[in-house]
Amino acid sequence: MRFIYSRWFVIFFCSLVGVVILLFLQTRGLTEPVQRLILYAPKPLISSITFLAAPVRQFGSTITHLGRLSKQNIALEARLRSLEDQVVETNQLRRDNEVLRQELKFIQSTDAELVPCSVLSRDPEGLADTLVLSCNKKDGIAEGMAVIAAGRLAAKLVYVGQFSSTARLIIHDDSTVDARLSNNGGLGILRGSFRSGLILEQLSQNIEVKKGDLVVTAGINALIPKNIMIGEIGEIVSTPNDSFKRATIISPLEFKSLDYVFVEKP
Amino acid sequence: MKYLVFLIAFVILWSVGQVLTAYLPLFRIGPNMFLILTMIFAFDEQNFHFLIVSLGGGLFMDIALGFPVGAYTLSLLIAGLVMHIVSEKIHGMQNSIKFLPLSLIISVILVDIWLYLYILFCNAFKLTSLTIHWQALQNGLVWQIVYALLLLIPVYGYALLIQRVLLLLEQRKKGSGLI
Repeated sequence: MRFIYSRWFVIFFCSLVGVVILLFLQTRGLTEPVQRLILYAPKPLISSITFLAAPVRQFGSTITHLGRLSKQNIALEARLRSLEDQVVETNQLRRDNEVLRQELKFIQSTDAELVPCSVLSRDPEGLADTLVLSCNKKDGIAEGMAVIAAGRLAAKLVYVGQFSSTARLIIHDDSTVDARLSNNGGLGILRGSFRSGLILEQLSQNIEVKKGDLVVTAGINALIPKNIMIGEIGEIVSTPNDSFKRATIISPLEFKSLDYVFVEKP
Repeated sequence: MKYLVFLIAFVILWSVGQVLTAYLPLFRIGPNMFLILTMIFAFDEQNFHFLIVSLGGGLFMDIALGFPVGAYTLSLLIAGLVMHIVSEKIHGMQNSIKFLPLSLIISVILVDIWLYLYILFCNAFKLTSLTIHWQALQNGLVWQIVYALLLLIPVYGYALLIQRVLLLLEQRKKGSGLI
């Protein structure tokens, strides 16, 4: 019997046709009710297991990181003192700024509108670096908007549907965001990097960059508001002979274990 | 009823995978658990449960992860079909189950290659905005195989549990005359 008349070929062919039909329906957004069902059905079970696993994980983490925590504590205390000094200085500058704004009748920019979303599923592969979020079109969000976690830029929306949305983490290779250094305003492009996490590229050689400098969004893209914190400079990876400076960025976010995020409307 | 059992089994497997991935730096254990389940069921020559597992489980993962339909569905289906055909060919050989670890290693690698090519294809035809990089696939392939092999035993136990439940349901059906 020829292979194309075998039952295996028939099964495979029927399945292939079914998959193609479903793929077509998916591109038209018609599988979204099913997606909603699939994403919400396991939620109670996931929450229960997470609730039970959390103390065990915390205990294990504390034991294994005891030495590191002690060193971190010393470093953080020193940093806290330095930041307290900066806060005093910033408060003084803010007061001066307010007085000057009133004098010059500047319009105060409005606060950003945040839409809270829970993470329904995350790509466990780290293949596409995506998060499926609970927010959808009804919340007034759109593709390209910024997704924030703990005040830091975490992802960008790549798809917004009727029941859920998909965001791509900024650490993905294809993710690019316009960014700037908060202290001197040096503009660059933030790119996800498979090996290094985040890389700030296209920085002018004339700009001074040093370890620990804070990096924020530049606001060139109309959908991503400016001054969203991204992270801090880790190390400079370019040489003085390169056309542009490149530096790694350290973000405190744990991208793989985000549970709740916000979409910031411009 | 049989399909409900499988649906519950998928939900449990998916939930465990999501929780483990969130807490531990494990490589692709969620999808690999579905792959192992497919392979185990494919060894059973008496029925076509592996089709339900590969199609149902694959669809479940594709839709839940926002991947284009077919990324996991077709890869699991092909892996299951090949395994089932091979299993039929080697029928009569003692302890054919010993081929499972080897076939699992091969299928883990092939599923990775399939994912890359399929998502690349879908992206090229604007069917998805997702992209996958070859480096991401290579990342921890060895660890991925190690975890898959380690998961073989618990998932095998889980598969036996599902089969036991299905058998009980069948017996109850026969007992009540609802064949």
